Amino acid sequence: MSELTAETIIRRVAVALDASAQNSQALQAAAELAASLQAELEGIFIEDINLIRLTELPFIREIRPASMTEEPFNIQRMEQELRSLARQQQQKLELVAREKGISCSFSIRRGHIRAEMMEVVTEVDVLTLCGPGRVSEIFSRQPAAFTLRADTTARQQARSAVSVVFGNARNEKRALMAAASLAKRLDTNINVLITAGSDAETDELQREAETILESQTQPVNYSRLIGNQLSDLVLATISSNSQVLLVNSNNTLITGEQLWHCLEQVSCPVLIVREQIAGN
Amino acid sequence: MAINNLKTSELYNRCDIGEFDFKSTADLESLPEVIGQERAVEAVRFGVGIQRDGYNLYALGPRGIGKYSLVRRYVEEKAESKNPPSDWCYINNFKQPHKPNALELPSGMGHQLSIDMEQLIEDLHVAIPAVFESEEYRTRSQVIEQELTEHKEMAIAEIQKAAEAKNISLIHTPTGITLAPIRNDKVISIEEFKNLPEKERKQIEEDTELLQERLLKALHQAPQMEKEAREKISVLNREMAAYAVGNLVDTLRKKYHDQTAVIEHLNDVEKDVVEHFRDFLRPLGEKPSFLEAQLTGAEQTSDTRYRVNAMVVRDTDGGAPVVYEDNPSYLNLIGRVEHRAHLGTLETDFTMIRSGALHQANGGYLILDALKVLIQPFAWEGLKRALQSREIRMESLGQMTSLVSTVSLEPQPIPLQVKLILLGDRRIYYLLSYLDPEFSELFKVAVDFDERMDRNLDSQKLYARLIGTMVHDEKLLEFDSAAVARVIEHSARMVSDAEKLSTHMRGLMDLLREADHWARENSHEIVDRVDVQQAIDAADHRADRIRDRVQEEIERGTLLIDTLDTKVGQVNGLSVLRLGNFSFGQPSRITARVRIGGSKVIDIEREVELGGPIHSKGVMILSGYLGSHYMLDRPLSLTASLVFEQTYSEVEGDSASSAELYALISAISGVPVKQSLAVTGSVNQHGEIQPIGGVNEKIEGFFDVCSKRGLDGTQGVIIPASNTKHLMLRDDVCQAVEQGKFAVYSIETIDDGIELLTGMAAGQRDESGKFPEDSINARVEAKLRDFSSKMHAYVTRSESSGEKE
Repeated sequence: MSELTAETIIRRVAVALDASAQNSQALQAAAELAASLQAELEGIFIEDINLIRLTELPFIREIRPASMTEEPFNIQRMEQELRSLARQQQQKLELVAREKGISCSFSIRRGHIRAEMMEVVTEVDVLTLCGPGRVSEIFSRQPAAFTLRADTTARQQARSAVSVVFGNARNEKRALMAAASLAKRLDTNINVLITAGSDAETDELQREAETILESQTQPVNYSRLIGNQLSDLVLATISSNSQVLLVNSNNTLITGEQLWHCLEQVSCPVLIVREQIAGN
Repeated sequence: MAINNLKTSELYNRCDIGEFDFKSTADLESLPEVIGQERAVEAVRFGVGIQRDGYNLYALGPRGIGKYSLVRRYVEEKAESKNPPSDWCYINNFKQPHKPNALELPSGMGHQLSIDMEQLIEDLHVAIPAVFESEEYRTRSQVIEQELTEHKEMAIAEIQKAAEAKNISLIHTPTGITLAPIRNDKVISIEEFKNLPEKERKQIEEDTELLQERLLKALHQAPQMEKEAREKISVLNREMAAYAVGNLVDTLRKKYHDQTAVIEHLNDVEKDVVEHFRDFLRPLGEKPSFLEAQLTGAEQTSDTRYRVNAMVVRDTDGGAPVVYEDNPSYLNLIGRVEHRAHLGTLETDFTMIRSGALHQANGGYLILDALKVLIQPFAWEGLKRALQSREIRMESLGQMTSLVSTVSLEPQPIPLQVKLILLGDRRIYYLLSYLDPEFSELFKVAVDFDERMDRNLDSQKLYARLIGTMVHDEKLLEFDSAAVARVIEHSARMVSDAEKLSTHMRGLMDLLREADHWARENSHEIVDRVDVQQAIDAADHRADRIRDRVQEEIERGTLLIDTLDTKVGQVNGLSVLRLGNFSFGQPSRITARVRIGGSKVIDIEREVELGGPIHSKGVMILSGYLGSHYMLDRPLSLTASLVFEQTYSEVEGDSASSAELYALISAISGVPVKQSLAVTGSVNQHGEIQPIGGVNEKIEGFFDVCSKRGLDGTQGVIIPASNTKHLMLRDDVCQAVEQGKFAVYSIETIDDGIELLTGMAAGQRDESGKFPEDSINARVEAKLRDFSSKMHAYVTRSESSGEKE
């Protein structure tokens, strides 16, 4: 591995927390990475300003899928619920941090989710995000906690690989090194997704990656995202059964809106590794 | 007049070894038959043979007589010729689990079915997971789930699409979802909303409302969609499970094709496995968690639901069962449902049903000790109920007495066909016959064991073979013929009859074992007469502490017994004390005092309630004798008091009535009685001496007293002539008689005894009806007439003075 190791450069691993079911996956992934790098785990709970705003609109009602009831909003109840939710997330964070033996911190922000996220990305070394929840999550809030199929749990396929996007943007090897560290901790494969314009460039990037990962004992799989499209990334992530996807913050594949599309479509947490600033 | 000074040969019926044709028991063949119990054997054969209700047996006789051995021997003989009865199993009742079903199977099949079902459970734990892990199942179930997901997604996607077209967004809230108008990816603020034209505001409200309704509708449809998917999965699950279980159960169906009940059970098992296939997805032996068990209501795991409780399993080569239950408690007879403690409660299932003795003996024979049954709470009631209803209904004591009403198992009753044999003593038999009307209905066959058998040459030879059989069975040293003869003689002594032999097998066996012990102690290779005698003496010595104390106190003069000189109104009577299995004779001084009175013989023992009814009867007879013998033409004007001196416990029996009469006659006549003689025998109103019990012990008791004081040839005992045949006296007594130092007289009448005791003629009435002068009877008559005259004069004088007054 390069002398500029991930351990020396990643000190803060943040995770965005809200009430969605995917949070647990994101929290776990962030905690594992922080533990592998001996970094601090930072929980960030963002109170969505939209939720505050919609309480002011008199005709808006909340549907509660579990009880199938409707109720108008009011600002006091919403704030109380958000505080309660934040407390729950903080407790979860602290529990996981204790289990992994790492330090943690927790902060609450209020604002537009995406804007706040983008701001956080610039402040921490790694930001862990999870999908905002697909439509089926609406139904998952209904009380349907029964198992239909008779599959034994042993037969359920476990997620395995750690996928990482590696391109020719600046300092993308930071994400690669973080992925290597995480894969080692999880004792799983590394799936390196190379974003390159040509075969020659792909080969060059692969060689570079191989150099970076030369001391890596985990199996490494290299594949090229041929079209350099977000859809290719999603497909590659799903097909490799990835339990986590690491992407450099300046990778062109997930800039802007594409990040949110990516989060919606991949079912695993996405770790955005901040571009390393010189001298940091 | 029939006074007989008995010869030594009359005191002891010796067994002549010259009549034996063997030197030792080694020469004797084993005895195949029981001897001396012909009546009992006949009754057992009858009772065991008759196959009708109520013909159960009660073997009555004293303990140790060999009831169990004899009954068991004949019952086993009969049982061997019968086919083994059915096996009985309990199986799960899938419709009513608290009422397990009983399953009757040919002998030996119960165990096999139990093994087969265990194997089936094991196989199901492999086969069922295999089908549910198959590619086919995964694909088919995924299709159903995918279909459900798509339906849901489609419903929401349509709403989302419609919402986006109207700038409305679906938003997750902490506790639900909502739809809100957005501008630039942000929910419109209230200020922005207010600034909108009214028409637009109204449109937004309407659109939101409409979409909200659509969303609600979609959410409402979700449970139905899931229900349909669940049903599809359920059908698929059943199909797969049925396939897995069907193949395995078919194999068993073929194996047990001729057992309808088994086939029905297998069908039920198949249906139930399909219903509970998930139990087989966990590893064999792993129980569901407490929470899971509570949620699913599962009372039993798959490991137990399908098991077979092979409760009664027979050996296919054996005959009918013969069961002896040593501890016939209610539960040991009827069976029990055991419980295990689990999480602070007691739980049970059909696999914890345990058989009782009735189950084990069903189709055969059950032998029980009557006393043990009767002292066990509810055992007798439970036993009778089972016999009457001809079925074994397993109920706990709590259920039976209606004291407990908690839900427990109610196993299906099992039909009962058993021959019950109770062993007990006669007292219990007669008490049950008297007190329990159902007893006679249920135990129609009395097997009465005799404690004695005739003694003659043939029976002695048979008895010798019996001794030989017991010696060989117990692996004792061989007994020589003299030892055998001594055992036979002792056997006669055990029943206090020179012409009988004891059939008390335990007593006989004890003697043989102890003789064997002493022979080994004496380094004898064969048991001889001395060893047997040593065993008898040692056994007596171990038990005769009280006898020694009594003899000691007589010798020391604490207990007053005269053996010299003569005394008026005082006779040595003889009584027997029984302490456990040991009895001994004790002389007692009987005294009488007389005076004028109103024809009354006062029994002091009776007055102070120390005399039993038979003793009192004996005393009352004396008045009859005195009146009829001496005072036919005048009233008896006598008041006499009789007492057993120095007795401090109850006196029972009439064996001293003759002695009491002698004391009375002596007191009336004033003629002294020889104290060197002791007397036993009861008397009737005609003055005839009647036999009594314990004659040997009584003679030996007085002999011991005299022997210690020194035998001078004057001492002896007077016994009833009819007791002569009972004499089996100790060797030292016989030797003393042989040497003329001691005598045993047998008499037939009171007059015989009077002559022996007084040395004077009793006197018989002559043709004129008078006793000879100077005879005892004449003196007694004269005295009584004198009492009568004086009484008459006294009464006349009293009446005259009364008239004057």
